[in-house]
Amino acid sequence: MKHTISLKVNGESYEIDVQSETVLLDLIREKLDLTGTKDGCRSGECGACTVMMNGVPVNSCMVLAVEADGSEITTIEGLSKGEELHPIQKSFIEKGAVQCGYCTPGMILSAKALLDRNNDPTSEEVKKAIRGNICRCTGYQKIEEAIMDAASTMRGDEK
Amino acid sequence: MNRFDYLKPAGIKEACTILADKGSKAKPLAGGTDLLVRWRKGKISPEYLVDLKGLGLEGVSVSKDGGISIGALSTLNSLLDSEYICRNYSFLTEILDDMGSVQIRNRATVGGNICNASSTSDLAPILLALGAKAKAVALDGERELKLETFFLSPGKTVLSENEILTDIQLPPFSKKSGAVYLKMKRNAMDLALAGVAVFLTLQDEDTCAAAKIVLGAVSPTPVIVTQASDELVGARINETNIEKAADLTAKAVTLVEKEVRPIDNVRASSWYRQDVVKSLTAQAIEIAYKRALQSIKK
Ligand SMILES: Cc1cc2nc3c(=O)[nH]c(=O)nc-3n(C[C@H](O)[C@H](O)[C@H](O)COP(=O)(O)OP(=O)(O)OC[C@H]3O[C@@H](n4cnc5c(N)ncnc54)[C@H](O)[C@@H]3O)c2cc1C
Ligand code: FES
Ligand code: FES
Repeated sequence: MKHTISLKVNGESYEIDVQSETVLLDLIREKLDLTGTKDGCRSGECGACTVMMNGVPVNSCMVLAVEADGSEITTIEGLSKGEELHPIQKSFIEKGAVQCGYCTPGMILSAKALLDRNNDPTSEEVKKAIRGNICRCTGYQKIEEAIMDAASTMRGDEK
Repeated sequence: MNRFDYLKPAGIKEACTILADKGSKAKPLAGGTDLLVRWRKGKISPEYLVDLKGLGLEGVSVSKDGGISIGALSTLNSLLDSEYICRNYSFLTEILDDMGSVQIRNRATVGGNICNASSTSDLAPILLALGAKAKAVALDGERELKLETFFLSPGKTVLSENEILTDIQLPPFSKKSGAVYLKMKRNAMDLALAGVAVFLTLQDEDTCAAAKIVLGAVSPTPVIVTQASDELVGARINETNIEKAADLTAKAVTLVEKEVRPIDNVRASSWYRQDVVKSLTAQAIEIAYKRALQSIKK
């Protein structure tokens, strides 16, 4: 069955037709061409498909597009301001937290969700926040460092 | 993967009517973290998914006696944010915090966890230990059930296909009580290999007035191990009866495992599971006892 939904993605409003079975991940990647959001396990395990929905991170493979009717979505493309990268993105690059990059968009959105709620996390809290994001390359150490570093930069920005 | 229609009723009556109308062709949809996985694997092929998220069934309300009623559609993360739960049922906060990932917890609901009737549910054992009740609604009215009678077999509950779980009700948590759920798993995102929930109430600093020990993950549905709990009630909690209760709980594993060969060997062998259950139970009793003592002294 076809449904017409309206939602905001990275601040832009859309009105789109979707099928009942379409998952948010496919809507984002295929209809909106925002391919920064990655397609991994499609079962809620890997976090590659993480987006923010109404301010909190979700697995976009586990949300039907029609369930996102009326919601506000932020994908990795929505973080930078034009050419200016978000502090978390910068820090990931600087700390070498990106290797193949497949996990990175999801990882960064999970990090952002954490820092939005808690701008001074412990390393334990960082580990918990990204436990739904699998990285097969980096061994997590550099990712953790990057998030801690971004947190301190962002706290500095506020001062 | 079959195709389905998505329906989102705006009220309980409409939802019940749809479910009654469509019968076994329809499935209620809460957070979808179980349902969508099973649909994608072809394990279920509903023709209709009936989204329950528009029915206003989320949120925690405190009852007059100090107990709580948790709306079935409350997400796990929304409960983590509940100050009342954190203050009065902190053991629940501890369990929720260790379930799935942030992303899963933002979608997964309490009702979905219970209705899914999975043997690996991390909430069922502790809710059973506490003596929780479930409230459900259908076209012909509401009913209240003891959670003890709720689970029939993996994936099966006493709810009929046109009933909706609306609330989980918890009795007030006494100042003399302590509770904990311990589980064994391979890594953070893995499902439990074995879990034990213990709920103790003390009469005074020495005597145990009531106890409940519930086993999770080792049996088709969570099991209340009455013989083990009885070892503690009326007694002073000490090393000897903790050991006895742990032994009896581990023995219960052999009994329930007879019914569930498939669970054996998929994620752990039977003897290993018994060993794990024994040590988890002893630890859990000790923790619950300490917590009860602490809250008496407060
Ligand atoms: C990656 C991952 C990690 C997980 N980790 C854990 C974990 O650590 N611990 C744990 O216990 N579980 C875990 N789960 C399982 C799952 O997330 C939970 O069981 C969750 O609480 C299910 O809730 P839901 O709202 O998503 O249910 P849904 O998938 O929406 O529904 C589950 C079932 O219940 C029925 N249903 C739902 N709500 C109602 C209602 N109100 N009335 C009647 N029927 C209803 C549905 O029809 C369906 O059959 C995990 C799952 C994934 C994918
Ligand atoms: S693709 Fe969604 S969690 Fe792996
Ligand atoms: S950088 Fe390759 S998966 Fe994380």
